[in-house]
Amino acid sequence: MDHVPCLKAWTETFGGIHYPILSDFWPHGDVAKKYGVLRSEGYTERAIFIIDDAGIIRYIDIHDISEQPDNRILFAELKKLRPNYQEPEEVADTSQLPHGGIVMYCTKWCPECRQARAWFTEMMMPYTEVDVMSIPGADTQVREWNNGNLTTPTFDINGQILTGFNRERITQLLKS
Amino acid sequence: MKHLKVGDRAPDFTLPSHLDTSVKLSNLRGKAVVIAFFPLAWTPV
Repeated sequence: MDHVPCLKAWTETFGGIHYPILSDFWPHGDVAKKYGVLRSEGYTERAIFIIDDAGIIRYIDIHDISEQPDNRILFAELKKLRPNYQEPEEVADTSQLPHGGIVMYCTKWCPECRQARAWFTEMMMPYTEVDVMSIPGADTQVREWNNGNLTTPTFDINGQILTGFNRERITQLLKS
Repeated sequence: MKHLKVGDRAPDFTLPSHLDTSVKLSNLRGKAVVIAFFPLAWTPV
């Protein structure tokens, strides 16, 4: 529902996105309304529709706004439309990723990653940062921990996994 | 606001995209299409 320049700026923070990010900005949420997912607050549900070759809806997932969808379910649904599709084999090597202390899997741009960085610096807590966009195997590892989602930040704190930035949990995990 | 269900025809639309091209759903016949509405940029809220 953002306008196009805003979408461009957003995609640039990922180093670009090759599939089209569409703007339902004007008339505001018009397409969301057609799909029955416009909320009274003025933004949409977190919703996914899969549409087949003939333009028929084959899958609808309307998600709780506080949750992220599970990509594995989505891929399984897509596979039903393309039963012969062979997924490329994953060759990601996660054995070289750092372990021990606080390891933060993050992106350059994610707001919570920024908050975490600031907090670690303020508290003078040593941590290791792994950029999931550039370190080989990092995205595979984070998806493995988060139902197929590349959620950032995700922390590996002495082998215990924490998704999302939570000061209390980090403090607890460091003690345990 | 009408709720759609599986088996319904997907309502057609044309929207501008960040790639400077418009996307018209009915031009994508013959392809599998995923439409994701992602308010708040998928961030946890």
